[in-house]
Amino acid sequence: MTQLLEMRGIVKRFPGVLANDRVDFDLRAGEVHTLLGENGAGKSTLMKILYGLYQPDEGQLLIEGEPTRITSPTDAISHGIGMVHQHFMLVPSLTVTENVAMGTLSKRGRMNLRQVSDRIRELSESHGLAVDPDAYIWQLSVGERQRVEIIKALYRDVKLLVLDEPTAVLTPGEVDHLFKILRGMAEAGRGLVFISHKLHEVLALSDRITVLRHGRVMGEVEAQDATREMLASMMVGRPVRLAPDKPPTETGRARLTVRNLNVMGDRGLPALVDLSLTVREGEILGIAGVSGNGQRELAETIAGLRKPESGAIAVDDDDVTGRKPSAVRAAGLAYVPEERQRDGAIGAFSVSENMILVNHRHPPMSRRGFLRNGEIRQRSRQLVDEFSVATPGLDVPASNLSGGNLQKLILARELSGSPSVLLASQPTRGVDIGAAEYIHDRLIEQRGSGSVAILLISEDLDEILGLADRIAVIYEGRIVGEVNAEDADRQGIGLMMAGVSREDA
Amino acid sequence: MADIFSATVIVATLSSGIRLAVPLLLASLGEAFGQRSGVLNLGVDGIMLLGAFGGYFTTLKTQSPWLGLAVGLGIGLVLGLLSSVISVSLLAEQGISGIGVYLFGLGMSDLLFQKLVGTPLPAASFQKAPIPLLSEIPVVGDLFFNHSIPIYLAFLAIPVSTVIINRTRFGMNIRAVGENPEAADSQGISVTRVRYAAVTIGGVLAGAAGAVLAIGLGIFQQNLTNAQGFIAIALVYFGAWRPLGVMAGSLVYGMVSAVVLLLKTRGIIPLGASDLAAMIPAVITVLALVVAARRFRAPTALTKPFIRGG
Amino acid sequence: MHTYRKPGFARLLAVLAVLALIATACGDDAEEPTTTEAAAPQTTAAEAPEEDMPEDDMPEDDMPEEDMPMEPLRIAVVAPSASNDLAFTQSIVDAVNVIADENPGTEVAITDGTFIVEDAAAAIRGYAEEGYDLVIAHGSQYGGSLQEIAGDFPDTAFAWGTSADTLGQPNVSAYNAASDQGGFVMGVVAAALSQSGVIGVVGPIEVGDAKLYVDGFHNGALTGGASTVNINYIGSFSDVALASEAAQAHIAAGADVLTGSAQMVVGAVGVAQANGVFWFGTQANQTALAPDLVVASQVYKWEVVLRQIIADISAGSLGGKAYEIDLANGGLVVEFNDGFDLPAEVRAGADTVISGIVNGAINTMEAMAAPPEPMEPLRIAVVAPSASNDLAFTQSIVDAVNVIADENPGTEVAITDGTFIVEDAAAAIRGYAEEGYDLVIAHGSQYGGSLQEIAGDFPDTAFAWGTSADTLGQPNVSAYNAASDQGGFVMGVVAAALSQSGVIGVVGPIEVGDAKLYVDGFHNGALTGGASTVNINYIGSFSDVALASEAAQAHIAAGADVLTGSAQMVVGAVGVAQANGVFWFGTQANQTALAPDLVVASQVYKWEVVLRQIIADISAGSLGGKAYEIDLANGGLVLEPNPAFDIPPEMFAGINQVVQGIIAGTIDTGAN
Repeated sequence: MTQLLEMRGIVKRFPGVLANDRVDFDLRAGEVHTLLGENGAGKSTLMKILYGLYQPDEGQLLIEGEPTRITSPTDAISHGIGMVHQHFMLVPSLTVTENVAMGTLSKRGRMNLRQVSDRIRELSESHGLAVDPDAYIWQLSVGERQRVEIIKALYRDVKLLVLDEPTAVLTPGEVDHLFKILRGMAEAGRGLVFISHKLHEVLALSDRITVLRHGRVMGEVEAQDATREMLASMMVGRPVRLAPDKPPTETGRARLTVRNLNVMGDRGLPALVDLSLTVREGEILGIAGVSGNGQRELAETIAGLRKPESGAIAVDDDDVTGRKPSAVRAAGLAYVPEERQRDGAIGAFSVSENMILVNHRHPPMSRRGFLRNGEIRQRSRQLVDEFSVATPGLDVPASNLSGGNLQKLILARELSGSPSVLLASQPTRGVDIGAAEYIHDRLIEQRGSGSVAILLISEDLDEILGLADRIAVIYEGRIVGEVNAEDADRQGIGLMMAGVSREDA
Repeated sequence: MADIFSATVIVATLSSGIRLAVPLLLASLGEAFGQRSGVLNLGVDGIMLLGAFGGYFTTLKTQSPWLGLAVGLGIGLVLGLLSSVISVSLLAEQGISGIGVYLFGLGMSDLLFQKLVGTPLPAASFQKAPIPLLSEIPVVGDLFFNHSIPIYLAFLAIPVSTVIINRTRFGMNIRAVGENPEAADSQGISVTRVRYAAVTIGGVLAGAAGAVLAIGLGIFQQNLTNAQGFIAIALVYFGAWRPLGVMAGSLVYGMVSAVVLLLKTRGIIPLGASDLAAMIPAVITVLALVVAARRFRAPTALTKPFIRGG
Repeated sequence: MHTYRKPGFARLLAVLAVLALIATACGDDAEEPTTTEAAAPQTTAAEAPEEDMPEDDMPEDDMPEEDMPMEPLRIAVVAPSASNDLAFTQSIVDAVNVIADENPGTEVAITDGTFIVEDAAAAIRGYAEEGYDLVIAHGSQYGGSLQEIAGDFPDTAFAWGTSADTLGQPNVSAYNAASDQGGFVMGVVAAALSQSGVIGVVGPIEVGDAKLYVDGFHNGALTGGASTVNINYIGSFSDVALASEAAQAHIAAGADVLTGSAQMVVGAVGVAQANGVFWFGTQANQTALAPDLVVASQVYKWEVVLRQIIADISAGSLGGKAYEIDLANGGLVVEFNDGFDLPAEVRAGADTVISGIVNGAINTMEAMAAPPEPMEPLRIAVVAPSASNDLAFTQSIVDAVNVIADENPGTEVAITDGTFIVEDAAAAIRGYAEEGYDLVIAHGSQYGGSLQEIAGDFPDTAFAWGTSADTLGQPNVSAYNAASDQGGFVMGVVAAALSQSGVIGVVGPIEVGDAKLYVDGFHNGALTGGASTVNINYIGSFSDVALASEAAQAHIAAGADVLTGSAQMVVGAVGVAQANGVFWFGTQANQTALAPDLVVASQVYKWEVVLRQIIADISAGSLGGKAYEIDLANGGLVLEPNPAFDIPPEMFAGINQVVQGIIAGTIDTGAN
């Protein structure tokens, strides 16, 4: 196999950070080589260097054996390099054809878009990438948008394609389909760089795996020799338990009941349709589903942030339907929101201020409207220790904390009120493996306390499978099926996530 | 008052509206190019003023309005490039840097006027160029086909711009860098080059707007544009960043101004209300275009300097 | 990666854009549009032209006695603070009540607390409309509003205080207090009482009777032997807290006697009480505020001037005179606190000082009296809104100053033009004053507000303000104005004679100032001369050249064959006249150059006429306080015909007749 790419001793510094520390990486024609690592491990930086968005401080880059300098995306494109970014590089107000044609160098003046759209049709047929060339990007689903990105690369006939976390937005079925296409592209002789942190996907797709941690290469392994535990340990730097131990518990009475909930989304279309569910104390109900199927609206409606059109929500025996967030909290709900930066914490506030955000109106945190700093600091110190939030101090702004530590802070705050219901929405998204492991343990611990009902909304199917006692699948605002954890299988749930109801599957 | 509906009066009033609209139309069309590419240029009025002075001065000295117009375009080109350097290359805050260009144009045009001309003297103007046959049509002919050539050209610029923006690769690049410069950059489009081009087109059209204004009037005076450049910027918003929209806005503004003048002249708007009535064109334009433009939104990257990988 | 979505900012820009549209449409001139229709001429002459020669409806001349039933009298007062403020407002309220007691049947109405000028203006207008016989605007800040209102109600008598200026209105009386007199007396007493020799004064803003009082007190205290008189103008008439702090600061600086003027000192009196230092009051008897420590108060007895004003009204004169209360006429009284044990010799000394002031032996302004600055060579600065060569408003003053410079070798002239932004103008005016210019000319009626402030800060600099009839109540501001209706009237007559169609078009900026005068005069002249229709179009801007051109087009479309217009934006309209072969009449400067074949004549302003008078007065030691006017009689307005234009000789004769008639006063231009 020909050596498409060699990156030798790449060093990239940012103020205060060594993003890439003497990284070696290579790619051969016909293979899928995965870059694996936690957020901030340096994967994206390395690939941005490859694509000409950054210049390396040290090191050498060889394309097909030739030392090359890539100073802009235009350079990268001219060397046959393509990239599917995690945030799609598409212009929503243009059509698929226009997006594909954009930047392709040819004669000036009027565009011959007809030729471009014909070529798109050919490519989508030969690669199984169904997409309408005349559709506007804003009309397309995320899956379709990703296909447009791949078509863009194929249209330019790239030799080397980088895919940055391409599966984050896809259903398991779509992932399988994508992998099939990617394997096909590799077999046709292209080289693929796959960036991911989902271990089972990495193992399923890759030929080789390079693991990065703190900007350094921790090792390179052949996929057939690797296991999930081994990769996870390389990523984190210590042995990791991937599946938390989940001791059996007694489930008690229903603490959260949702009946026939109908909710409108932001665009005035129904987001939840006749949705009902019950969570009992001592159990975790997992809501599985692909992003954008009503999860956000469900969480917001329960938390009192969104008014339902009809239906009822009860925490314990309190009817909290349509009540203010403070009233829902008073009834016993704790809420770990999906957008932790936006909804879960105030970045400019200190760690201790964030710790008491929801309790600040009550003694002992305040008296007669005045905050009591001594009490607040004592309480914060206690929670920071208890939940091992790594912070330089109680007075640093919360925005300085890493995603995982911020999430621990929020969890500590939410659990400190002894809730009867814990609603956790995407609790480990974007969180490093170590913190995720910790958060999982705390959720299991709460479950074991026997007095809390936990509703876990997650798009990470592994997380759901690992934690939940029961799994409900949400699709287009409806619960399309519910299974007990012991009966659950990845494929069946994947089908339901794609809208195939249980009976059909 | 029935005679205000006579053909002569209607033609005179609407022609007046067209003349008032043309500088606005050119300036806002140019601004639309820049804004579609993501660059807000608040310096339009300054460019117009210098274009106006350059056009007037050249015409005064050479007796050739066409040479004057060419100088106005040239001044617009230079200032458009200058604006691009400031907002695209130097990544300046666009809300502030444009004001700098405006103040420069305001001060410099006045200084040059005082030094080079002194007392305002009348200069030659464009001749009317009735279009054969078409201008013979009663009423309509006089209204649409009996103007000077720059006025025809200004209106011709509208469909031409529509085609450029919607139907050419260059136009698509402008829209792409205005909506998602990262995407454009990752496709190998030079965001810098496209924005330079778009802002410079805006400068040329602003210079033309000023020159057409001054040469059309045959006179220059300090602050001749009277903030028309800022009205033009407003018309871009309300014209929803589309050539046809800004044309409609300019025409509404010009026509309403002309009708208000007519009503004042005939005493239908009483003297006591005449100062208040001066606001009517602005109010009606805002209302008309707000209603029409509600469905549209600004280019996503408007006012955002582009920094690669940032 | 950036997220390229920030709708908030986009919306903000949209809003700014809307504001830009509206602001532009409003014009960039600071003048308030006059909405009154009282003086608005009709656009078409329904009546015979002769009736527009309005010799018979001049309010000043034919004020019939029987129209003024003065019994019972109805008096209204509008004042800025509370009626019981123990200071400024209370003084007038007490006085009006005295008058009411003296004249049974007198009806009194009081609106107090109108520290917002617009509110006061509304109240003043309201009283005038309700037919009150005398409306008292008790606040120097009300001058601007009153000027407008007084013009609208020529049959109502107004009184304005404290001021020495009748606003050029025949129905406004001004009243003022020589509060420096009582201040001087009490200053002498204060010096006698002070142990430390340090005396503190809390003042509001350095204007009007507060300034007089403070100056008099200061001089009196120094005369009485005080070593230091600390004066603190806090910059506000209403900030009680700040006044209290100022008093504290004085005490900290060693003062053991305090005084202060205006209604915000009530807090300072409390401070005096709390610290056991003496207090002298003014405007009303302030003993109640600190019974142990108020030594004396200078009390205003406005009833003294009110009696005079009412007498004059009854005699048929509605105003035009300035009145003053002082120690001599009993309008000012120094009331000693009976509860205060003032040493007899000090009290006797005070009485001596009072008689000295009354008989003129003592000058309360002694310490201030500065000899007039040597005036040679003169340094003159001009600040004007448009370009020096605008062939209109700004050029007129620049030309005049240059004439003066030519007449007086060694005169230094500095010009800042193009300051259509008032703040820029204010900065320039202040700059010239700081640089020690002898005469700073603020050439723009929109500059009045700024000038009022600046003039107070530079009492030794002479300022001139035009076009205006109001000296802003400042002793160092001269006002100058143009009777531009006169030339307008003459040219209107000529225009009517030249017109074939009988339709004449006028392009105006905003309906204010000399532009309005000119337009009104022209309109009336044209009707007098036999024009059938005069269309007037105020475009709403002083600077929109394009709009002025289109207005000219609209006039021509309406059949006008003669045009005129006022202000600097008409340069384009002249071009339109030229292109369409219709006649043009210019004003403010000679506009022949703009349309050499068709400009018939221009009314030219010769401001040098008033500048000569102002400079003469400055040399004589008077820095201002007077209003000047150019007109046809004094040669400040000149009609310059275009030599290239053939005016028939018989028309010339007619023109001369009209000019002479206006000069002699037999022809009234009908403008006010």
